Amino acid sequence: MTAPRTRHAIVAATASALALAACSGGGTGDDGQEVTLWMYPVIADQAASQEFWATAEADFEKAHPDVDLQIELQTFDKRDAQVSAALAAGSGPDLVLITPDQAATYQAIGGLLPVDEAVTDSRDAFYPAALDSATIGDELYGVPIFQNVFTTAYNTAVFEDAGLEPPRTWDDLRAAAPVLAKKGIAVMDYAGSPEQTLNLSFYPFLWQAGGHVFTDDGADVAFDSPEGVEALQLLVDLQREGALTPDAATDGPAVEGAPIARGEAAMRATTSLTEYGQLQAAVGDDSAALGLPLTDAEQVTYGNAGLLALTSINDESNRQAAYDVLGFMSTPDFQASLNAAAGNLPTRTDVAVDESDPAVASMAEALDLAYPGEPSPASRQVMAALAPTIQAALRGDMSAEEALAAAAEESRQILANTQP
Amino acid sequence: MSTTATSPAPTSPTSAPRGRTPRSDARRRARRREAVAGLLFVLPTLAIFVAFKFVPIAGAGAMSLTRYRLSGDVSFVGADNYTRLLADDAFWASLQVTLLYVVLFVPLILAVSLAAAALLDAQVRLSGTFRSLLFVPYLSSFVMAGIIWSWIFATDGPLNAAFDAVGAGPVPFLSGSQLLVLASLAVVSVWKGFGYSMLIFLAGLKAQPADVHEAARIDGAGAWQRFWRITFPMLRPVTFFILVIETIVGFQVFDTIYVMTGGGPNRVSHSLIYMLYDQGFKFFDYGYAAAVGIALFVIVLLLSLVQRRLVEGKEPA
Repeated sequence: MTAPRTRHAIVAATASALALAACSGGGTGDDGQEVTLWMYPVIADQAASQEFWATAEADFEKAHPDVDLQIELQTFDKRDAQVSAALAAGSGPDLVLITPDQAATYQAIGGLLPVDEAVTDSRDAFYPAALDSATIGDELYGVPIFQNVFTTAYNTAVFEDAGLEPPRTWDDLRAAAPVLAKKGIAVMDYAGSPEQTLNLSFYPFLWQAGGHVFTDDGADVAFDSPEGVEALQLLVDLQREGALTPDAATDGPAVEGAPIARGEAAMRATTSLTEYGQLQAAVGDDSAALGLPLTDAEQVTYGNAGLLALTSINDESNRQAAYDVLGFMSTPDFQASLNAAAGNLPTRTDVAVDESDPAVASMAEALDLAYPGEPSPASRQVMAALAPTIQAALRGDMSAEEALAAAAEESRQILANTQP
Repeated sequence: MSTTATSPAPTSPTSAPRGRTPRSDARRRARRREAVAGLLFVLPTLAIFVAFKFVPIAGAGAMSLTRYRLSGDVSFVGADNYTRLLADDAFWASLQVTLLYVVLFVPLILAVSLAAAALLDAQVRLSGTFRSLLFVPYLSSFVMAGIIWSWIFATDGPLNAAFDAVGAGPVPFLSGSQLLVLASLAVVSVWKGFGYSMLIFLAGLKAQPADVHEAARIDGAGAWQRFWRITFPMLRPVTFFILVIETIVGFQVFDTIYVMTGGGPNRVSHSLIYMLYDQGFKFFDYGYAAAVGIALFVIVLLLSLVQRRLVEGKEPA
């Protein structure tokens, strides 16, 4: 073993060399009263986001005058790279906003610290599912401060013109596909880019077919099951008959400027509230509608909690200050204001959902059918193995079965390599 | 004609060794002072290079021999990461992608930048304006270029609309065969990067003596002959420099791929740097990522040496 100081010097130097997306971390002060938090664009409007978090910072410091809170607004682009480079260099945030599957990955590599003590008094107020998504072993590795859910969104005008009802099930989807394809319209868009999380592309179809990504004990992958093949075959069939957008294998999740916004695709299987707003702006309020998740064997979609996690950079000298920030950002008042600004949903039972907004009400309804994903230390690696073979199947280079078998073989090697 | 023998300057065997004179000593001291002064001048740059280039390279080399966790736990694993690398199909596939990309990118950027420089050299009026305009893409960001070109190359983008108009589309620029995808990416990188090489070629062209070209013209050589027989051979050192630089740039391709294809489809554009990025920053396998980086470093170094040998071997005697 190398001496700690030398080790850190080597690591810091190497992280600099590897840091393709270099970042500057806030770091913590020696007085133990400075806390750095990396926040991401959960509030889509940049100006509104800056104002909201500046106010949050000021309000917290007013309530805790001995703590200097630095909220640094980052972008989602290359988030893993940015966070890991900062952690490796030992210079980054005390607190960072992550998703449950990222929490599992970071926890497995020693990048996170438990936060149970931050919510000792308020634990019972959280929805159990929200806490479960952040619980690894018996410890909580992130305080859920909001929930997002991704559900179906339709361009109803397209379906009306074709004399069709918006699809609610896979059978509806299969029936509508050829009718719309004849008119040169894709029944659905699909984001096959490898940089897109499969939680928002393939996995909802896998879960709807009754399949899973991992086995129950997490020791093996399970997506190469008959249910997995059925899910991928659905997409392959749709692509073959022109019922997915032409570039579905490589498209990203954007709405603005995409086929869905131009009326060249009729629906999305997974849409956030922000994306729904963009769809409304593109096709008109009267032509945009949200629905419940698609149904096959199961009716399910992806929904995740936004977790405020404590990184291994934080030390004991400002641990309590970090807990204070976590406590502040999980209060009912703060959650309500964040929900209003970001259009997301609360993680506490004592925070009301704004049912007066039909879109928020639809999202709240879909939340009951949301699945928080399958957190695993290897979840991101498995996605990286699976996404390219899904592309291969969509391009016709492989059959659905071959694609999943190839990805499963690579994933099993990944799981073997990631064993502690 | 008479010759005058000049006697050697008297030397004292005790004050100076044989063959050394006070003048040569003074010259030597002056040279030493110059060397020290030179060293002092380059010292700041050298220090920066050592701190920010050589130390990280050495650090990456050291890390490639370890298994490192974000918690700070480091265990020495010897050559395990390299053994794993050699047995990893993904590494060989990424190396193949990278080599194919370099083969497409380097000749294209050399040709485009040389052609642009030659045109600018011949252009008299508004050459400064054209030079600035051609350099503009170099100043733009890779991300912006990637987004714009993704739209241009899209199946429903303007380029395919033009192909459609003549009944030739759609061409799957970013979702087709590996050759087509990498060629499309190379075009974007060339568009983005040729301004730099163009300026270096232009400087090389401006430095060429006019009388040589004038003599060739008087001897009846045509423009094409003068270019290939005189201009291009005289640009050999410049060409070598650009060849090495652009080869390195080609091996390091990342941003364009990240924005335009994400390494896909089906990993046909998953370059070595992309593999390093995935391993290091998505999978947190720092030791393995460092091994990929060192392998790439060695490959580029060897290739640069081979290029140098080949170009020097063709230098006129």
